[in-house]
Amino acid sequence: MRVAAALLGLLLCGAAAASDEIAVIVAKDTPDFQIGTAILRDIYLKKIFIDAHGRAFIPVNLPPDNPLRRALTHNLFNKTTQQLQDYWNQRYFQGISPPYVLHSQEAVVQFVAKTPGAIGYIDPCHLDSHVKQVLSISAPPSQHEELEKLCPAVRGATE
Amino acid sequence: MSPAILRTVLGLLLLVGGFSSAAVADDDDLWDHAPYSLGRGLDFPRLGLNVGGYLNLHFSDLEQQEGKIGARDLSLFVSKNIPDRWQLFAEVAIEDALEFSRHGINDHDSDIDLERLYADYRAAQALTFRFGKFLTPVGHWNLIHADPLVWTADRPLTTAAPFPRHATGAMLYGDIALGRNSLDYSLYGDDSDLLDPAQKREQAFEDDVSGLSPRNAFKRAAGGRAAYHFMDDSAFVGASYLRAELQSLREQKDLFGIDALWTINRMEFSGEWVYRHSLGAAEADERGGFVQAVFPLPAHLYLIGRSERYRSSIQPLTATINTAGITYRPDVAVTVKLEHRDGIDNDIAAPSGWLGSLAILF
Repeated sequence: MRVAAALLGLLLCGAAAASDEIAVIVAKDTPDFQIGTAILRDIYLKKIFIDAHGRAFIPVNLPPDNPLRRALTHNLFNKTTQQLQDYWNQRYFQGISPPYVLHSQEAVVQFVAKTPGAIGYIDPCHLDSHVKQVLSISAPPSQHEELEKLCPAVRGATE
Repeated sequence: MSPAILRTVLGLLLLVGGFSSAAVADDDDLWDHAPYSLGRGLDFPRLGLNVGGYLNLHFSDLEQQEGKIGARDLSLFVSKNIPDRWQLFAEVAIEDALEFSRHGINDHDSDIDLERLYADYRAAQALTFRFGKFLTPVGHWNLIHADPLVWTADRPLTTAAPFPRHATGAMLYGDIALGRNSLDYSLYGDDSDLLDPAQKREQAFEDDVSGLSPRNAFKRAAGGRAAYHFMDDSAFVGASYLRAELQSLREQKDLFGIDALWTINRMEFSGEWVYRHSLGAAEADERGGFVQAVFPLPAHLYLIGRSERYRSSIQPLTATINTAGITYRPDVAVTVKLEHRDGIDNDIAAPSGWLGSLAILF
């Protein structure tokens, strides 16, 4: 039974879906979508607004205190909180708002699945059949423990 | 800019918002309500609409002028995204709405102005076309000149005197990713004579007491700017070029500019330099530059020092202007500033004295 539970956990999270990974997701039916961290950074900084086919990107964020967002910010931007705030102050003055914020990973999955052009990030254990992972981002080691708490039910099955 | 035109502009923006709203009403349940956040405007994400602005209360007590305090700027921004490629943006400002001095209240200088009004078309990832009235891309300061975004209440002459702050015409611009670095660029043409003949003429030297300050406004202009961002966007160097005919001057001008900024450990070092060459013999060239340093202190306080030299056409000697100030930023959207300006041969272009402001981005 313990072995079956462990296998189920691995299937849900994926073999590489340890607590040090963040899954970047788009809708399952999004065609021809390839992305790297540099492009993802520019999408989230609203330096890039459309893809190569002219379709608008709609990046969505988790709340500022969410560990996944902190990990993504650390990995992607390498900016202090003040630098990011100053950046968005200047962008706001130019008519550009920061990415839209959703309150939970479940809301991100639902939003991304149903909104053309939406792009979000979640813990891999929240992946479902309506979205697909297009990039994996490593979280800094200092945040592994915090991220482990995001999917306790699933991870608990593997213990 | 008449109130009727302002009403028309804002009405059009809201009308476009209304149509877009109807188009995406089926997805209503996906969009959470976005709570208001100071410094980020009132956001209507489902409509792609954002309404915000900033307020600037200004204080000055300068040599040869009476001390005054008042509302210098109340600006309102409206931006609207139209999927997939368009964005509209408008900024309407009430300037010098109310001023108090020893002689009482002065509201005669107040003015409603359409600061910016443009449409952006995103043609490609690194290419956007802009049509309308926009900030002149010379240097860095002019592009972020709003009081809540800059460190001092006083604006360096280098960033205001040698060129009009707004242009009306067309621009193409973009941001080219180069690994972790990037290059942003803009190329633009202005025909204010045709497109904005009733534009407000900005005073080149804001605190001039001689009455000699020219009023800056383009007739026609063309120029470009490029800035290379590196060290994870914590530093950049930029270069600007502009050829212009101005309404109040007879000779064509060539303007060359360089600017740079570096932030490290909450410190910021920046500078700009310009040289405006007159294509004739009758009008003098202008040149100047400044360096500025910002150091963090405890309790949301920052210490600011700036030194500028500027050779202007309204006084015979090069002015040296030194500014030392302290800025309190209790919140990302709020700044309180107090500074002292002093110098040598600066009494006409930027007289010595105290300046301060309270600025709120809302």
